[in-house]
Order: sequence, then structure tokens, then C-alpha cells
Amino acid sequence: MIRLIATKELRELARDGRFRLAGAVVLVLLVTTLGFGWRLAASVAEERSAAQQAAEESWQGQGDKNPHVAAHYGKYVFKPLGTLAFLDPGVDPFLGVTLKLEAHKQNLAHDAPAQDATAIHRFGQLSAASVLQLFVPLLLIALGFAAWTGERERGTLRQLASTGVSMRHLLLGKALGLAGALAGVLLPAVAVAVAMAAWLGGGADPGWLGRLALMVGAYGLYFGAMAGLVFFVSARAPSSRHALVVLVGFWSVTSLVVPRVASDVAARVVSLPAPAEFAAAVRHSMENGLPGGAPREERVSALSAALLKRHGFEGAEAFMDEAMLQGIELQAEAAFEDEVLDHHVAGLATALARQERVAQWAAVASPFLAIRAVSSGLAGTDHAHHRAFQVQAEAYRRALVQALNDDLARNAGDDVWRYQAGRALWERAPVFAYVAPGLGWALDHLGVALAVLVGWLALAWAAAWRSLRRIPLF
Amino acid sequence: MFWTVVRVEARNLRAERALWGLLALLAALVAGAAWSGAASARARQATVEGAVEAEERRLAEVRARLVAGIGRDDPGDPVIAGRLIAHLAVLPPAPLAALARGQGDADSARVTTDSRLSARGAEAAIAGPTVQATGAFDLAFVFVYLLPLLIIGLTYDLLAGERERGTLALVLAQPVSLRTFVLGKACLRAAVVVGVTLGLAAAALALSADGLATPGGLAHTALYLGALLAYALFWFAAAVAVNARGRTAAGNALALVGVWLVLVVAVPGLVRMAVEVAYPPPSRVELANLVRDAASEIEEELTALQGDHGAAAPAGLRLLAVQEALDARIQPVVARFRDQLAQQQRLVNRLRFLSPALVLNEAVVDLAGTGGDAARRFDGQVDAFHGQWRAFFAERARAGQRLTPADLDGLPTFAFVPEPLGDQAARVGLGVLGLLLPALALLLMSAPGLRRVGRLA
Repeated sequence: MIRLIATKELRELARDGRFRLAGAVVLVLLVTTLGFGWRLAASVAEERSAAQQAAEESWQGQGDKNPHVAAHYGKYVFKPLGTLAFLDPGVDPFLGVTLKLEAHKQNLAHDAPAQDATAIHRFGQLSAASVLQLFVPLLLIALGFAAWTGERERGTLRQLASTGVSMRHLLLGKALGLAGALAGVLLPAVAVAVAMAAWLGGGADPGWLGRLALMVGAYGLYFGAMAGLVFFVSARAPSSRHALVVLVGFWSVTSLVVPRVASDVAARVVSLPAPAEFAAAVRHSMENGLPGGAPREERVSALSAALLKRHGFEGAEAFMDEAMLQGIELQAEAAFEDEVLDHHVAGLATALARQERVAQWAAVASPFLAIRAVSSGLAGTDHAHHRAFQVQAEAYRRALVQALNDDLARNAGDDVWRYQAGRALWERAPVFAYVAPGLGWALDHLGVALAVLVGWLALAWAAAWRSLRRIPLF
Repeated sequence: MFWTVVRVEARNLRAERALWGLLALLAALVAGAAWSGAASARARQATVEGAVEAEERRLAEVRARLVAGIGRDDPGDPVIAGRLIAHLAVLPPAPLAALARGQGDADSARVTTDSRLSARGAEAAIAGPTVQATGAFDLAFVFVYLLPLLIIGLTYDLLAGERERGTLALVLAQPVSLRTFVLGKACLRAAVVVGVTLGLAAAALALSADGLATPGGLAHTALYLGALLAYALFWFAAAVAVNARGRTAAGNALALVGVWLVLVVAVPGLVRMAVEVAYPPPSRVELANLVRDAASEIEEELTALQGDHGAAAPAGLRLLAVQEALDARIQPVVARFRDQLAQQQRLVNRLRFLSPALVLNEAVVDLAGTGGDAARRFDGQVDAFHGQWRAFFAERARAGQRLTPADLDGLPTFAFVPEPLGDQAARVGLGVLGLLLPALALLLMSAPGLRRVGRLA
């Protein structure tokens, strides 16, 4: 029975010129945005890997110098683009891609693509993800707003009721018909996306298939929730036009107004320091020690004593060569600086993460926000993934500085600052290789958004189901 | 007859709760957006002022050291002083800055110029990426995105509603043509909505924008209100054209929302893609690599020079020569960078006519000075200023002079020269024309549809 109803609905839609037009527009937009995203992703990936190689070469070709001077010279790393970024650029264009790693500093990532944008880049943000998040719900509304009201207005609802068909079967049949029509529009785009991802990711990134499958599932939840709402409103509205106005109103408030108001509120609730303020605070702590902590000199000598003790040289300073002491002193200073930088950079990262979380919680008032968070999280283009890159880069920076300071302590002898290391050491130093976080990690960070998305689905279908009991036939 | 229709419609409208509800919603949105826009403009200003103060403190420090003649680096040496002192070039906010946040959150509106390298780009602001990606809840958003939806809500059943209620037959039994009837209804609704919108927009600006009372501010406000008026008229014309097709109210609403989606979301997105394909965005990564190499060469040169104790002046001159050579190497890349963005903007200026929303948005960020045009103008001026700034130190170094505290009073200062009002007015005016002509075309297109009465019920 359900299949019969679904077939009828599907056939009706397929014959409807308006649906064919709207479906074609959505499909064309999807394929265009996919193609554009793919082209951009390919060139960006190439550019960044070339830059990374150039940075590696200039590191190795820096000539003979003191290892600590080399640590100051530093090394640039570039954030690689995830395989699925072409589907959903997320917040990536607004985040820096180059990071300078050097001694005594924990730099913030620089050169966000959005910095060089003209106004059109802000106004014309269109990607495959935004087509799915904004256009498809409207398509669902256009296809389903008259699901119940239309039957009643045409007088066919009475006829249907007289055949004794269960309203639940009718609802399920209509839902299946709608799903079939939508699948007809979206499946070709999914096939294109899979082919593109395979070309971009290849064998280098094995995780993309799982992420893509989950992304398809998440969009399924989102469209399901929207369809449930459409059936609910159509069942309760006095007329088709009422149903349409209510649904378009809901769509525009939840997809346009709520996100902007929520992000403005988030920016006001969790304020971030200005760049100059932040730099000044770091400088102040570097000179005077952390707020509430010991002053610089005191803390450095404590750390230095701890290092001596760890190496078993406690009380034997007089017998150690100059370079050894200098190396340990440098390490103690680096440890102090790490403490200060950790404090400030972690503070900033926490504030940013809190801001993101406030914006994510607003998904309770907007399914659009929930799917946006899930989609960019699975594409690897949200703030959490950026943070993961920064954390790995920082761990690498410490390893690099430590390796250089160790070399100074071990090999400089009495020369200390006159000691020079060469290419052999630069080549031996650790190499940065970013490991993209796995699927489990990504899901961990999307808990709230996924739960809210499932909540919307459950709520919408519970409402649609309950509304069946009171559909007026006249 | 037209005025009779208007009078009857006025009586109808007064009783229509939906109208009052929607206008109240618009007022609330405008108030919220104006408040939010003003707050972010103020925050931006405070950031700039804080940075300027910090730089002034640094200058005072150098001056004190110059007077006392102590310190590790000798500030009396023009080459060293050129490295110690920097000048903050500040892009002042436009009179209507509170209108649109635009690009204003991506950089912090100031550039540090010191005598070492080419002026660096504006310092990146620390901002939440989601906040940036979502876009601001500002007046530009309310008018560009939401105003058309509100107009659609008030006009989709202009004719279809009468038909579905069965009143159309009664009305047309009177000596009134369908065209007069529809235009009368549409004109009154347009007058109410446009009047309220312009009033709200002007009031919001008066409360939130500083510098409105200047002659430039008034001219900008007039241009802005003109663009807004033309935009609203376009959407009314679109509603009349859709109503003239004689479909059902729901069908009209669907068609209008579809048009909205295409013109406000799809076309701007496609235009952006076209612009990026035609003029690919310049690579910051490449620029970063080049500047990094240049900077490290300078550092190496400096390290090498530090060996020459006692020969400071010739060493300083050699350093100057190195700087200038490197600058000459970076300059073409920076120029290509800016040129590409200018090309993009030129293409947008031509393609904006494809979408009324794009026309209004370009006009608004143009007038708010947050669209990137002003920023690029600023970059160009800072570059020129940087030459002047560096020459100040270089001349003294070449002449073998030492810097005196009096010299510090003669340091060049930067002042932004805004675009002449005429150029801006021409660009926005052309945009207004690009809104009014399609509106007129839509009205003409609907004329045949309004000649036939069609279905009555």
C-alpha cells in the first residue's frame, strides 16, 4: 500500500514542470559548486605542498650556523587541505594557513584567504554544502507544503479517507515519494562528489570515504527533519498558502536570522583580545612571569635546577663545561617561555572554542546550524581541525627547538656561541608531518551538533505523526 | 479611480494584522542590526586607538633615549632609528561604517610601516572564524536579505488573494480596470513599506553612525537611501509581474521565493566563482615565502655587519642598499597581488547588474567603506607613504647626520585621502539605475497580463 502511494506521489512530481525546473536548478548549482570547489582545492593543495617543500629546502640550505641561531631562523609550516574541503569550505577561508615555528615564540597562523577578499567573497559564499543546507530545504518545502492541504483543497482527501486507507500509510507513502524525488536530484551529485574526492584524496588520505558516508547520512537526517516539519505544518495549516508562508518564514528565520544573531551574541558573550593587546600581554608575562606565578628569573633558575637534577648534575656545576651549562640554561628558558606561551595561547584557543560552542548550541533553535557544524566537522574544515593542526605544529616546534638545543649542549664544548653546526644537523632534525585527526576524533567534537540534529528529526516526525489524528477532511 | 482604489486599500490595510506584524518585525530587526553594527564599529575604533597609543609610547621611549643618549642600540643612528620607530597608518572609518561590517573583521584597519621592508599588509584581526564566516547581523544584511522576503510576504496575494476570496469579481463589476486596481494596491503597499523602511534606515543611521552630519556623510546617506528605495521598488515590481501571471497565491509565493533565492543567493555565488576563475586570487603563500626569504637575507646581512665594530656608518649604508634591493624584488609581487584584486573588483562592478541584491550590497559596502575598495586605496597610499618614511631615514644616513630629538618632530605622518565623492556617487548612481531599469522592465512585462481579466475565482 505504502509503495503504491509512494509511486503515485513520485509519478506526480516527475510530471510536474515546476519540480523539474527547481530540481534541475539545484542539480546544476550542486555540480557547478562541486566543480569550482574541486578546482580550487586542487590548486590550493598543490600550492601549499610546493610552499612546504620550499620551506624545507630553505631550512636545509640555511648554511652553517649555531644551532640556537637556527632555532631563531625558524621554519614555516603550511596547513594541508583536507580531502573533503571542496565539498564544504567551512570556516577554513577565515583561518590562517602559514605558521612560522621559531624559538621563544608561539606564532598564530597567518594569511587567511579571506584577508584578500573583495566584498563579493563575503556576499557570494556558495558551496556544495550551502546549496544542500539552504536550497534543498526550500525544495522540500515547495514539494511538500500542500501535501495535506492540497488534497483537502482539491477534495481528494475525502475520497482517500473513504477508501479506508490509513493516514499513517498515506504519510509514509508521501514521505517515500518525496525522498525518491529528492534522491533523483541528489544522487547524481553524490556520484560526482565521490569521483572528485577519490581523485583528490587518492590513497594518501584513507579516511575520506568514511567521512563522506557519514556526511551523506547527516544530510539525510537534516532533510528528514525538514520533511517532517513540512508534513506537520501542512497537516495543521488551514490552507496551502498558510502552510507555505509558515514554512518559508521558519526557513528564513532559522537559516538566515538565527545564525547571524547567534554568532553576534557569541562574539559579544566571549570577547577576544585585539592583536596588539594579546601581544602586549604575552610580552608582559615574558618579562615579568605569569600572573600569580614567580618572576622570570626565579622561575628560570628553578627550572634550570630541576633540569640539572634530572640529568644528575646537581651541585656539580663547577665541573661542567660552559656549553653544557649554556645548553641547560637555554632549555630552562625555553621551558619557561613554553609555560608563558601555553598560558596565553591556550587561553585564546579556549576563548575561541567557547565562542564556537555558543554558536553550536544555537542549533537548538535552528537545524541549519546543526547540519552546518556537522558538515564542516566531517569535511575537516571547522575550528576544531584547525586547532588540531596548531597543536601538532606546536609539539613539533618544541621537538625541533629541543633537538637544536641538545646538539648545542652535547657538541659545542667550550666554544658555546662560536660553535657552528651544518647541513647534516638540519637534515637530521625532525620533519613536520601533519596527521589529520581520525573519524572518531571528529565525531567526538560534533557530539552536541549531532545530538541536536537527531533531536530535530525526532521532534519533527513526532509532530508529523501526532498531527495525523486531527487532519480535518473538509 | 486610482485614488479610490488607494483609499479602499488603505482601509483594508489598516485592518490587516499581518502588515502591522511584519512592520513591527522589520523595526525590531533594524533596531537590533543598527545597535550591533554600531557596537562593532566602536570596537574597531577602540582597537585602532589602543594601537596608536602604544606606538606613541614607543616613540616617546626612543625620544627619551635620544635625549639621554643611552641604550644598547644607538637611536641617533638613522638606520637603527628607522628600525626602532614605526608609524601606524590608520584607515579612518567612513561616515556610514556602522552600516556593514563587511571585510572589517578580517584585518584591523592599520598597517605598521617601518623603514625595513615594503609596507606589510594590514595586521590580521583575532576573530572567531564562525563569526566571520556567518557574517554580521547588520543593516546591510537586514535590507539586502530580509527586506525582499518581507515585501514578498505583503504582495504575493495582491491579486490572487482577491480572486481566491471571490472579491475580484465584485471589484471588477465596478468601472475600474484590472491594471488600475493592481497598481493602486501595489502603490499603496509600496508607499507604506518604502516609507517605513527609509524612515527606519535613516533613524538607525542617525543613532548609530558617527560623522553623519558632515557634508560627505549627508551625501553618502542620500546615496544609500536612494539605492535602498530602488531596491524595494524592484521587489514590488517583481511581485506585480508575478501576480499578473494569474496563478494561485501559493504559486505566486513559491515563484517569488524562488526568484529571491536565485537573485540573492545563487547569482552572487556564481558571480564570485566567475570572478575567481577569471582572475584567480593571488597567492598569499607565495608572497609569504618571498617576504620570508627577503627578511632572512636582511637578518643575515645584519649579523654579518655586526662584526664590523666601529664602522657603523658605512655598514648602515650597506644595509640600506640591501634593503632597497630586496624591496625592489618584493614590490612587483605585491603590485601583482593588488592588481589582481583590483581586476576582480572591476569585473564585479560589471557583473553586479545580474542581481539587484548584488547591486545593493556593493553600494552599501562601498558607502560603509568596508568592502575592500577603501582598503586597497589605503594600501596604495601606505605604499607611497612608506617610500617617504624610508627616505626620511635614508637621507640622513647618507648625509652622515645623526638623528636629534628635533628630527623626531619632523617625522612624516600619514593621512588617508578618501575617494572623491563624485567617483563614488557615479558608481552607486549607476547601480541605482541598474535597479530601476529592471523594475521598469518588469512592470512593462506585466502589462499584457493585466489587460486580461482571466479567472475570476
